[in-house]
Amino acid sequence: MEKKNEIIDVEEQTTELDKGRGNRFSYEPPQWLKGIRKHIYIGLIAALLITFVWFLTTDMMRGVAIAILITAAVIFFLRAVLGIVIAKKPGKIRLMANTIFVLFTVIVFFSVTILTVAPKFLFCPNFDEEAYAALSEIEAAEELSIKTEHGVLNGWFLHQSDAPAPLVLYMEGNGGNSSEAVKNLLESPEKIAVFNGCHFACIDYPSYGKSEGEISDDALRQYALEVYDYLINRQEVTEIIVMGYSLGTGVANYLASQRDVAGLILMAPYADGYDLYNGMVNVFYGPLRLLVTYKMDAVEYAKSVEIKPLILASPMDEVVSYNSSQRLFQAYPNGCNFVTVDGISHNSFWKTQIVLDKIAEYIKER
Amino acid sequence: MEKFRNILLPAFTIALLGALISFWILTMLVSGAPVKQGFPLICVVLYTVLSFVLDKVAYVKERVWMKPLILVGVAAVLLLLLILL
Repeated sequence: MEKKNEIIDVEEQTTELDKGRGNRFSYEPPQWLKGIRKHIYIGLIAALLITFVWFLTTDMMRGVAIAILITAAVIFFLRAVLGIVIAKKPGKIRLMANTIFVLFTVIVFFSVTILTVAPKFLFCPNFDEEAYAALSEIEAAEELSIKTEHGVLNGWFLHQSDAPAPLVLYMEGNGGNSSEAVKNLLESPEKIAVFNGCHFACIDYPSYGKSEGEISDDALRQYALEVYDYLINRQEVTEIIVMGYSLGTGVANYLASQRDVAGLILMAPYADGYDLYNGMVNVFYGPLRLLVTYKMDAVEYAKSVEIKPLILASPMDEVVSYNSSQRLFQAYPNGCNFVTVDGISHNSFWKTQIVLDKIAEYIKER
Repeated sequence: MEKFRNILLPAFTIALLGALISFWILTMLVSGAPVKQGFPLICVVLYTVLSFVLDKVAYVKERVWMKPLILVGVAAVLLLLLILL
């Protein structure tokens, strides 16, 4: 009994000693929190593991989840090292070091999340097997396989005339593929009428449809040049009109700045990759722009475009902002036909008659 | 041991919280259903309460293997629901 009293005395003395040192930077959790701390850790670990396994079962998030877990391991190691370094330092320095480390951790996790997840939202490689099979039965549709340095690019060439004719080269949005685009065109008399007298071609981006390779900013620029150089040398093609929709407008702009194209049609175009990222999460300004991997500076390319393009944009577009399309339109040195199509959403361009009429008019009058 | 704990526990806590918050943001981005969007948070609360309650139940306390078994079982059910729904 006496011994117990002695221990209590020592503890009390120690507490008094700490108070005497004035260690106001040390944190002692309250008693109730100490009691459930173990359970909170079990909750946190369980949530992390279950979410991690869930992500592992999805194709889209697998890589992102692994990257975040590796980041957590690195943060753990760095914080352990920091703990050893600052263990004997005064409380004020420890507090400062911890605060800086927390900020550093937030920045690292945010950066890793954005760098790994953004390309998953921006590029959605897909293949429409049904449309591919249907097109294989149609005589006017010729399957193309273009051999390039980075693999084979696959797509469709739709013959619309026996004699050599202009070709409309269509660059799809991020969720489309060539088989689907050409099949949709063939199934709609209104759409096919727009390209009357012109051949139509759509080649899948790298990793889309049956195309090989990895998709990226550079890969898309390379793709545009390789596809153009292949198609312009075909005997059925007299000239090429480039047409882009959404993601494809940046690629179309780049091609028009590098090659002698006969026309440029852009539906829902963006000024640069930053605008696309800001369309998803509006935070990419200042140093956060360093996290943008898909730059595709269409405004810069537009300055070298010699022809007068047709731009179709909607103030109701929920993916590419109308302001971004406007910023692009101001960059063309020889002017631009800017058409505001009011009241349509991003996915409604192809379904809107006024859009089809404007494209047909541009192809005829250019 | 105390020194070791003082160094590793803060490191573990910050890494765990960082990864979990990132996962939570990701679930909000990829999931349409509100229940899935809040899943990591629901899971933290559920497991904290479950672990606390299990520690109070005498029958479970007497059998050391029972608590981890229940926790893993609940995790399996949650995972199945997440994947199937």
